[in-house]
Amino acid sequence: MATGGLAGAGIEGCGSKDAAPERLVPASSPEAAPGVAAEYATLCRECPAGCGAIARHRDGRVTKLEGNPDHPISRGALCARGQAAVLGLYDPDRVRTPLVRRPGGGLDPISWDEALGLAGERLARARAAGSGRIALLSALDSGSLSALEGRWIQAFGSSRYLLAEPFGYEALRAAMELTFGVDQVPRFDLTRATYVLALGADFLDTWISPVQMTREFAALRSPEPVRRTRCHYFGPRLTLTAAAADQRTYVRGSELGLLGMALVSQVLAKRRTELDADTRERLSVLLRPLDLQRVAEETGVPPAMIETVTDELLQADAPVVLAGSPLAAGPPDIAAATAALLLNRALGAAPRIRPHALGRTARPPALLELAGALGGGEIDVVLVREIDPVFAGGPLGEIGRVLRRDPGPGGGERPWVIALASALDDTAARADLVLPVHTPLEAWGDAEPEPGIASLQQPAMGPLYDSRHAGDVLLGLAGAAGNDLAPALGVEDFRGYLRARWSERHEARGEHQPFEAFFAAALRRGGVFEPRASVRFQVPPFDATRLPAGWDGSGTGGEGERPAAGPISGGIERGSSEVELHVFPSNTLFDGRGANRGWLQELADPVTKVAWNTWIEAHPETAGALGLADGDRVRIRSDHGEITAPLLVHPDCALGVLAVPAGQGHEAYGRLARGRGANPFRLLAPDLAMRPGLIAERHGRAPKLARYGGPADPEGRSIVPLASLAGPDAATEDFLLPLPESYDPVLDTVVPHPHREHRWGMVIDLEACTGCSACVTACYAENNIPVVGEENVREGREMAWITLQRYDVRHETHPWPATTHAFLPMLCQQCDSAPCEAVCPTFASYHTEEGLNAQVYPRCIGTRYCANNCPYKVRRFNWHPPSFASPLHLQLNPDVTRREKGVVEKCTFCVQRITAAKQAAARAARPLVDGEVVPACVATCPATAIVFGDLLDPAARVSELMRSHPRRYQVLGELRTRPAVVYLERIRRDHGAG
Amino acid sequence: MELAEVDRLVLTALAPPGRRLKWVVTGLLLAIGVGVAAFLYQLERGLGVAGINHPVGWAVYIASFVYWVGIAHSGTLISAALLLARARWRLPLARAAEAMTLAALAVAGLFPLIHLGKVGAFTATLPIPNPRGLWPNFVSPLSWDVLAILTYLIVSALFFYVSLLPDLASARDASAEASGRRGFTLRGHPAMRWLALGWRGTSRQYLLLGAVQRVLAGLATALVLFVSTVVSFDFATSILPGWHATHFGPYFVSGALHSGLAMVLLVLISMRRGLRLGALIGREHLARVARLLGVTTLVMGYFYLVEPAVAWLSGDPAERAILHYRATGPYAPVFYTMLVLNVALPASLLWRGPRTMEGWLAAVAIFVNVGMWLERVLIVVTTTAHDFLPANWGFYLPTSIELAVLAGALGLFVLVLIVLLRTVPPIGIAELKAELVAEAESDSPAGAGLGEAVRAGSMPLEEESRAPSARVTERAVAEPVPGEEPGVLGVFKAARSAGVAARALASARLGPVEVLGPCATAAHRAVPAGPWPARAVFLSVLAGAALGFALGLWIPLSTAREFALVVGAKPVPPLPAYLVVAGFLSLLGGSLGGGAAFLALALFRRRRHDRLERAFDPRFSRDRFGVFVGCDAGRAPLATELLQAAGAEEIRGGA
Repeated sequence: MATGGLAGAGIEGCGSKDAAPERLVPASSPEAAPGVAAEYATLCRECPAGCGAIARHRDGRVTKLEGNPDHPISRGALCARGQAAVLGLYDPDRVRTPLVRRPGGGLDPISWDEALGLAGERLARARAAGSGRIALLSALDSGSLSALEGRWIQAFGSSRYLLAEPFGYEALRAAMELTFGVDQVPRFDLTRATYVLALGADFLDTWISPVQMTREFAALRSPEPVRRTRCHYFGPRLTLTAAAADQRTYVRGSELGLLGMALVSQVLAKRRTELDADTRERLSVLLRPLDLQRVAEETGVPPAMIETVTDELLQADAPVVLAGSPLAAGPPDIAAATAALLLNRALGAAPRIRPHALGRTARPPALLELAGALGGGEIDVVLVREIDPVFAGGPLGEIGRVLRRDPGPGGGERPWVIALASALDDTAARADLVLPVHTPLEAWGDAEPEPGIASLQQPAMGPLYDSRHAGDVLLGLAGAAGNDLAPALGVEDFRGYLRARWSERHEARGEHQPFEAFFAAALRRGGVFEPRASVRFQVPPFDATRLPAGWDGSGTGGEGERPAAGPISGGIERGSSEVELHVFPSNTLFDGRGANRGWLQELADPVTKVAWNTWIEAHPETAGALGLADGDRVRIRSDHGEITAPLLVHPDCALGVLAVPAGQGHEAYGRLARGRGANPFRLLAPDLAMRPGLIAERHGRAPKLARYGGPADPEGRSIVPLASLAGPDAATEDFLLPLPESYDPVLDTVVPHPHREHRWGMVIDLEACTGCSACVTACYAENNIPVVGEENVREGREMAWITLQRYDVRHETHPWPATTHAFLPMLCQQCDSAPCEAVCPTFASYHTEEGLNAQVYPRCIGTRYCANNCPYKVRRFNWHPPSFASPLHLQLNPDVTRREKGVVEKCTFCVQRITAAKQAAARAARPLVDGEVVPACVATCPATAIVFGDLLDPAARVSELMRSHPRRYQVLGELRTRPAVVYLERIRRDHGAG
Repeated sequence: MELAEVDRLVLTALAPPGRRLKWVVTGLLLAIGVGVAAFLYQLERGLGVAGINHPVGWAVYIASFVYWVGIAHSGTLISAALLLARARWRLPLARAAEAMTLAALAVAGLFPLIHLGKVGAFTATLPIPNPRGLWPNFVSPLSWDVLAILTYLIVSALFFYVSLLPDLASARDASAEASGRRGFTLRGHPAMRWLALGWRGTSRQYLLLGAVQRVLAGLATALVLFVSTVVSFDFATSILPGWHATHFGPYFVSGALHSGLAMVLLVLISMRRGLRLGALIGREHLARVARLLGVTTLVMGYFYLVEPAVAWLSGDPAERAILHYRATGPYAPVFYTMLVLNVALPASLLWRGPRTMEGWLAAVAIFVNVGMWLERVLIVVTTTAHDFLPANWGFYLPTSIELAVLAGALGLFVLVLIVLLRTVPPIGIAELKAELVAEAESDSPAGAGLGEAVRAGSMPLEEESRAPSARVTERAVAEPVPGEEPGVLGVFKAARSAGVAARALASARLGPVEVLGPCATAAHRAVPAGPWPARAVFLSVLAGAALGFALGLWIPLSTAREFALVVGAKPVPPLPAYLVVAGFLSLLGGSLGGGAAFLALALFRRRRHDRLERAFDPRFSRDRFGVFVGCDAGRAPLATELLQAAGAEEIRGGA
């Protein structure tokens, strides 16, 4: 997908001049000509990061999302969850009409008029009953919708309007208040950082803005020249961030606070001279170095490790320290986040902090207050827009606890609930009235995830069902309640409101061009983006007096005017049989909103390779101490709830921790989500502090988890050789270019064959690849890959054309032995002498003139010999008839054949995209340009780890890398299959080397 | 022993099925029904209902294919290879062994279809002329498999059929009273008349039959070596650890013979019991097969040592890992069971004692069959489950669907075998008679005619034999020869006398002499048929083979030239691969050529000699020999005289 395509997309192409430029009626618009792809810049709303996206539109429907290359957050990339946003649109379980709860308990469809009338009456009654008797709880929005909601709630005489997210980063916000006195969620800019220390911050996984940070982090390391950016990770388990780090130490989340403070005191002690007297005075407590021996006893981190990290932090030119649990917000978590902010401040990294829109969400006290009001009968009607408090935990879950009460005849137990939702999630399923709203791909919207990044979200297609825009629903509700808001705002609908707000922005910017042109350009580009330099976050002065006492680890607090802090560590003694709970955002399902999207359910967790279920992760020693074994069905009980899930024992996590991914365990939401797995949010305390007292007991054996693949131990095979900064560890033997020149008449029984015009090849930098698996989902979306379900994944029948293999390579480094957790994206290697081709009896598998291993589906009779003989095992057999439940079939890419039961299918470097690019070039009578052909996996890679191109073009980047990169190697090159996918070795950065 | 006794003994096996057999057949039909139902379910729902998965794309279906092909081999070994080696003890076993080959091949051929993703599209693997002009990819071992199985099936069926012709004539001409039982039987059935293609037992027919049998036996013996070797190429030409090995050809062939001999033992024991053929198939026959099984046990043991040694010495981590995986992984119990069943237990057959214990032989035969099947499964499954990249490793267990299909296949094998052995004479009557005659003619002291073939059995023939039918048909000398052919026919009880008469008539040059009889004898050879008929068979074989070879090169070469498709960076055209194709097609062409020449010359050619056959009498299919001389009435007295002198018990047309 080229920017050229983008320019032609969207708005400009509208044929008639008098049509409003932003009018979007794709099914009948000229750019929606049959068979021709159109592209619309829009916004990904799958998490609060606010990535810009391009919706690929075919024949009246969106088939694929890409990253928006112009958008400063995503820069052309999109994560797996973003890729799966189209499945939210085509979710077979979407709410299609308004639903009302009938007295008996079920939900019945009604018309919009009836629904609005009913709700309007309720609202009017509540408004009449007094002020503040209506509440509005919404998912985070940083644009016009949120502004409209503010006006709406005002119009109803209430101020009970809260934005919320299940992952609120409360620890970071508290820490920002403690250190800088501002209530914000900081986003850390990693550009040009030379050392990254993560204290439990999984910035490559789901943390705040993962696509952006993955790109920034990968740019620090890849491809050439390799910058010497080291990364050290402390945290409770192996995450993508931990895997990418050069050294990782597993500590419990509750120990991060003490560890962080120990680092602060060490750093401050060694950098004392750089502090002015005033600051030194304020930090006097922390200037006293903590007793490292004691820290070691409590956290298990050897003093030498802390000293090494301190030295590395101090020696680095531009270190950044990241911390802040998205969920846990107890004193140790706040301490850890505070320590990170203090370290950044002391090391000069504070200017890297940018306020993120996440700071707009309501904090626990406000949420708890609303929960109390809802439960206490203070509120008559509550609107819940596109958020699922019933599923959530913590303070948001407290609201959910009220909403999940059965609506009784008395009505006093809970207020009347109106859910504005596109799917019948756990909350909507319990609402009194469900009003179906557009999914983001059908809706207008805007967002400003960071200051200066004003993004526009335009509908990429007409609405699929009888849903309405959430803003229009609110306007409609206001109208129905006799509180006509639209005229008051001077607009007809939400789109008008958004335009009005953008026209204000237009005026504020003092643009010369007229508004229409400005707005059209913004739509085309995906927003209005200020240069990075022009938006600087002013670091507020640092005030150590706000710090609670006792964070020096002394345990004493309440000194003078300082507020007393909670205990800095979790209160669980090391070595005791007590365990700590660690609930983390799922890499695939995030907070659970991906749970009804087949691609995400089927996508393996990159680390554990589990799909379709919840698991409980424990270290072998932890499991042993609890009397549990791998595969046991384990019930965990906290003071707040209990869950049951299979235990997964593996060594890559901290002792004394039971880690559980969030996202599963829905009571409703759809056919894939309902009743699947367990919801660990149930275990959380309302204040999100992790407390001891967790009980884990065995309840028999669990059914086998659906896990991808075999062991991560390469068993001594050099599948992922490592390089040091000086160069590859071992000479890359057996490197054979997939070109005629590599054939040896003596060694080879196979013979060279020419390629016509092109020979496609790919280079994947394992140093850049974080294992995020966006490529996998992008491939599903692009290539019509069916979702096979849990049972089939368990049997090894997944259909993914590209998978992320993980290998743990142990190597001796000084002073600590280390393991490199390398991710190996495995796709068809398009071998030049391919073992799969010769064994096919029907020529279904053959070699194209451009070097691709083509698969002719109608010719395949399903012997599976090719799949067997593939040393990379990248060929997939259709074990069952592929099914795409309506309307999921609307997502299918018309350029790619749907395969039938009984045939083998595989990656062909997105041959349809190659063809399209070649045709475009041929139409323009020009040669193909390097970078013009972009397979789906390459396009979406947040780390830009994949380079694709024509090996016959000596100037192509892929040619250059494949021919001369010192870290190049081929997986199983010794088989002389001449793979056209060449990998660049992962680098091990030993201590002291950088 | 009277020749008629052979008919009686063998044809008794064709008596209508008893109640026990009906129950057995019902059970087999039930098993087949379950298998078919499972297959249809799999067809509807996709192969996912089987246990195969990613990465274990092949499992029990392919293993069963290899196994059943192997079973077929020992049938050919006993019938064809031992024929070439002139091992007389094979005679009572050959027919059953050939039938087993056919049944096993029929079942083996089903498995590649059962395992296909798109069963209906299997025709794409056949070299059928089609509008696309695209032939199958003959570089693929799977294409070789198709040719190998088809060739093997056709050659085996042809061999089976031509050997059967004199016996079919025996069945056709057998009198109902010979068995004394009535009911549903194909003996004397019009179908036999049709199937026997008018076999008369002339010297010419026996000459041609001998020639074509030797040719087909030679080709079939070659196929024993080639077919399993080519089946092993499915694995050996891959690049996977544990499959890609140079010893796979002989390893598969010897494994095939190992399981096949065990199956032959089982079949023979069943025939002894079920068909009451204990008189003809003796313990000594079982012991001889068991001794062969002992030999293949040693060979298999050798390969089980070679395989790990080669893998270890290769130094390749993936090869060594497979070794380790088989010995210690989840399939280790199967692996050790397989070793015990295939080597440890059958090794007992190296001693004579166990070889003579029928019960133990049956047990060992079952052990070896189970063991060899498990070996095939292990080879197929462990490699794909545990190849190069650990992240791809998987595991396989069969599902009930697969087990049902396997049970159905086993049922089909047994049923086909029962049907074959119950509809055609289960023991080569003519060959057995020829052996008896030859023995009687020699100076053997056992004048009663206990041939070596029968003597090989531990049980003396006399034990079960009753007194031969005393009914002798006396006919008037003046009665004309049937068919109104002018000439004189002498009917002889002893082949030796018939030979004397034939030689005397031939030297008297009274006219063309023809000898008719139930088996090839010296008398038949006394009539000079000239070199031409046999030579015609051999020339036809050569022509067929040449045509097959040419076709076998032209088909793939034309594809290569037309499409120039690159696969696996093989040269276009990849000649070595095409030689396999040409090889099989020349074997097929040769067999078809020989068979066609035989049928044309022996059965359908209309010449004067053939008219002589009209002197035929049903007794000549049983225990009498006819010597006919075509001459006018003037020379008839001399002919009569010569016949009388030779000891004819009946003379017709002499006037």
